[in-house]
Amino acid sequence: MEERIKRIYIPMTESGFYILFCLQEEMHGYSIGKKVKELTGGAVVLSPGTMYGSLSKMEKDGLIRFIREEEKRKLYLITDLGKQILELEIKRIERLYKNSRGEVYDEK
Amino acid sequence: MKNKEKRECHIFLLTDYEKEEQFLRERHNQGYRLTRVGMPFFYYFEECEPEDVVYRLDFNPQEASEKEGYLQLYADYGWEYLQELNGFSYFRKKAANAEESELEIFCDNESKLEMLKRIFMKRMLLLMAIFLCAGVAQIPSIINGVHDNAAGIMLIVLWTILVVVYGVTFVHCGIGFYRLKKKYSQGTDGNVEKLTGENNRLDNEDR
Repeated sequence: MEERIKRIYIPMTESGFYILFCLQEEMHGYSIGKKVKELTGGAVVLSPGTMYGSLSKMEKDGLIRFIREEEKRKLYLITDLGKQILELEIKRIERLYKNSRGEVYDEK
Repeated sequence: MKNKEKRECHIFLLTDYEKEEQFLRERHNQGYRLTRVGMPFFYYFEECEPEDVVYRLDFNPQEASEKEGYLQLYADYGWEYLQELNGFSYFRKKAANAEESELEIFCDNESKLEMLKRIFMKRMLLLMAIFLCAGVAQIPSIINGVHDNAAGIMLIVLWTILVVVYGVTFVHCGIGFYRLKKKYSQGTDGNVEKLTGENNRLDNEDR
């Protein structure tokens, strides 16, 4: 994996994380927003400008790809590179979580 | 209701989009809804019932094929699209019954900074290039040109005005970029927050 991509995406913004996380399934921007609101109990609300900007940037960097269009809405899905990044970020969050609970993190 | 039209001239430069949003919201609150924005700096309104309507500008010039999906996303979020001008898309939404978070088009500072970066790369650099070609590149011909006749003097006067206008624009936008960058960088850098003063922090808490 390119160092540049790692540098840009890790650590990820909260918006970026949820968008990439949701795109493990095929989805379009607004449905991602709805799902994130649901998952977080309304704590994370993604706005359209942030959503559009993140989707375009992630598509350009090859983390997600455009699948098809449905009633003018573009559906995206995570790529292999995107999965690698997501995996790294989840490990980082797990480490944070364990440490915050006073546990020592052991990556295995 | 009679729809009387009103035209207003207001100068908002590249980095004044937040002030422009505020200005349009105020006008709508006073009973003037925006019908269109024209070059240069002309705003057209029609009379309406005073209402609290939030205006937002997004700078995201894209290819024509991308535009439809872009506008659909904003429409899904309940934003009415008005028009595009100079790469900026104008949106509005009624404030009544909407939560504060639904009246923003960016939900984090990172994406605000991204937009600022796009404005800088796609507009500010272009302005600088034009300035270098039209302004600075003319210096030799101005110096060598005829100064002793009316046309020569006229040319120098015009050139000076051009350079001054450009200079003021650059300084204004430069300060604007600096301020916005600092504002959006709050929270990602603790040191910056201390420098930005009470107002910005209050703004942030409101959000």
